[in-house]
Amino acid sequence: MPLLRGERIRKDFGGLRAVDDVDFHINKGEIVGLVGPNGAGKTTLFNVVSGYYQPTAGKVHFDGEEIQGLQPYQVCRKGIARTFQVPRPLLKLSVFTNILVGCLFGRPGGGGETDCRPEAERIIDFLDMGAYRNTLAENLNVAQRKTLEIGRALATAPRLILLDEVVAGLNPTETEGLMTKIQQIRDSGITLFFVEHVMRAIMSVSDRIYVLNFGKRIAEGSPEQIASNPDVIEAYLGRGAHSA
Amino acid sequence: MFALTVQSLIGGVLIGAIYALLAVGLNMVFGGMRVVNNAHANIVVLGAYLAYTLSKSFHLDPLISMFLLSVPFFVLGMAIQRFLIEPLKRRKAAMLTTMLVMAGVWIIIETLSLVIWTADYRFVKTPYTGKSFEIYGMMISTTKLIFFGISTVLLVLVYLFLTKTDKGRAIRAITEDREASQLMGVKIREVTTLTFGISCALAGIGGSLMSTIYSFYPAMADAWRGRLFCIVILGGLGSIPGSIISAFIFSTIEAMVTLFASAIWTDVVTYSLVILVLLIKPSGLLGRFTE
Amino acid sequence: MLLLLVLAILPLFADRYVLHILLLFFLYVALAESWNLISGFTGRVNFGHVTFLGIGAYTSMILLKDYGWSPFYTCLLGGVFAVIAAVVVGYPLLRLRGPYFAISMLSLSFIFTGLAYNLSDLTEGGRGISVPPFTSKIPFYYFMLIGAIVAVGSIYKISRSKFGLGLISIREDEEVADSLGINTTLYKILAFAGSAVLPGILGGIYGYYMSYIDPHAAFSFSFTLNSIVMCLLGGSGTVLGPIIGAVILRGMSEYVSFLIPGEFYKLLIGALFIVLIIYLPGGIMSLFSKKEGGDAFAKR
Repeated sequence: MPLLRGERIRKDFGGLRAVDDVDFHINKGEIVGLVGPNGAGKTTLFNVVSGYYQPTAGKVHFDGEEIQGLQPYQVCRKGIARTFQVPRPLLKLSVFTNILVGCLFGRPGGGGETDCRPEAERIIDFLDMGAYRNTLAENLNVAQRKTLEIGRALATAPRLILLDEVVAGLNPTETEGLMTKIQQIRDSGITLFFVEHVMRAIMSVSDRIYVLNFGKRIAEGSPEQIASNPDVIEAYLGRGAHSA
Repeated sequence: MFALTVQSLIGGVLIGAIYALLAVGLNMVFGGMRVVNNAHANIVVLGAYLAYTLSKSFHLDPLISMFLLSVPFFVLGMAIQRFLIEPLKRRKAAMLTTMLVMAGVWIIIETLSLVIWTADYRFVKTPYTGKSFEIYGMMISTTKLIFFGISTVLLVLVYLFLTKTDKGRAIRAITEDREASQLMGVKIREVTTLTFGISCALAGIGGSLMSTIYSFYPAMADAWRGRLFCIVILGGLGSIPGSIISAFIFSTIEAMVTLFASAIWTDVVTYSLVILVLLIKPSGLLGRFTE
Repeated sequence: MLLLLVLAILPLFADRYVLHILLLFFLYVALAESWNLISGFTGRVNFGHVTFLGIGAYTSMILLKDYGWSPFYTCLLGGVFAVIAAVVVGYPLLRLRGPYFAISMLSLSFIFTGLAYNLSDLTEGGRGISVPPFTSKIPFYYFMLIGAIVAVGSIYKISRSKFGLGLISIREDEEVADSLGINTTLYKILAFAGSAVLPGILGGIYGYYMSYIDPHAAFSFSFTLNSIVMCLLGGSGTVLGPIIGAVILRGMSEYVSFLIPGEFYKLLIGALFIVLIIYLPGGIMSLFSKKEGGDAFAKR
């Protein structure tokens, strides 16, 4: 049984159909990518899965349980964590405390301080953020904030992480560093579903990729399959591009 | 009874124009710049006092005073913005901080008023005070009618200014997104100073008009302070039309409730309405912001 | 600790005037710290804080007038009603943010003022409720002192607790807090209800102390304003801030009013006030905290 399954998910905003009957599934241990041109509905889909939006129609199954309609904090406790496209750290709190919050509140069943303090230290170590442990989040640069997003997500002991454009805005070195960490996260048993625009990043790590355009799923397959799929090329580059 | 009802209704609507003038002024600053101008009501009352003095000493009718007063009040607004608000905004102070600074201004204005004019009730008598004329058996206050006309003209002018002129559009741009406006070349300092100036000028004008309708005393601002904020929020932050509509709703309800129940119930009704609307539409009647 | 001891035995020596000043000071501290809970820690600025005080005041005074029950006991009931009101009102209104929440709470205080006027069978309307004054100031002193201690102590405990951290997270970014597993609705209501307890209880004590309340006095915006000012002067979101703010505000008012005759002292207060606000952003407490030192949670 797949760990996460979206069944005919639809999300309308007034007259606009942002997500149009999308089916997808993610198996435990996979890294699955979600791509598509801007406005294709990727973040909306994430918002539906993580509980921000109620789907207009369709279901979301997590580990066999239906979770559409749950509040974001409940979804988090079930084991799905998410990062935000534009990092949203808790500005007036330190890196350590940001991660601590994730551990205290986000674990299934909640966490206590005795367990969470060492856990937060461990995550900070893992992410090589030791030097910034006490730095207030508002003083971090972009790359550090993105790393913090991931750290916070990890603290909630997730089984699945929804990553929303984690490497956007990073230089190639930073990108590589982060992608290595992401692989390590997967190796530790956490499933990853991530949205990305930086093609090199997504192609190199994904097991499978879904492609959205105008809210509809237009392709699914391995990175190689997607790269040569004419519909995908057309969606990104326009008609006639694949003849070039 | 019907005539009485309609008469009250009309009275309420007429007063609404002045409420609107005051509310629009506040909205420009509260909605546009996120400054909680606690002293707005006090500036209004100050306008009333100055109109009173001009009337007593120079026998000037408030209708004339109001033009004269608009200039010093405009300058006052600019000064407040320049010396008090700008330092706060520069360090990105919270909205609440602006409230406190303006509370300081409120204390100063109220104390000055108390010292200069004492706590005695004041009122400006004009040739048209207390006069009314009759239509279909209903009495319509002349004063209110004149002021309705003036306020309407002023409101239209303000509206045109905000929609048709560059400076006006800049003000609206800052309301939407201060940072983005800055990036697009809007000179924040100029525009915000202008906004505050207009806001205070409108307050002063409104005050001088009000001096002939209500007897006033320094602490009267207390009654208006909360009311004006509620009117603005009901209409929606940053929405001038919203403030206008909301002002009329307030004044009309007040008139109707006073007629059918008693004056004190008006508070319960109007403020319940504010909460009700916010529950249904968190950004107010015509507002677009939720924060 | 020594200070508490001194405060505890003070009534034995002090004259009525000193007791009066201190007693009001304690009340304001309690009000300010309560306000701090919902507005400073949770970020929901409440312009209608006085509503809870008024509910408490009227509850106790009505029970005293109609049944002769002493507010020293019924004040607890006032607290209960205030909390109930907070939960009932908070559930729908805490969805609102920023100025909308603030003004809707202000509206609420006006509504209650109006209700107090109109339900005159119950509340004596505009006449207000008058009761024979109590003989000594001392019990009031102790009640307010305990109130202030409880307020400060609770805020202290909360500021170091998981609950407090949850509130701060909500203040920093509510949606993120939600996504991290914090039940924001529950936490907001708890903070709001928590902020209502002490005003509700102390309202009754205050009313009895003044031996008179009327709608305008009980729901006066000045209580809310004082709470806000004290918190901001001292530093909102901190434990000591409101106390410092209260000291400054009350101290300034009393002291300056001696120095300057007539009403002019208010001008000085106003001016001083403005200067303080502009030049001391985070309140007095910000003078003591370091920028790069991290936050309290990281240090332990």
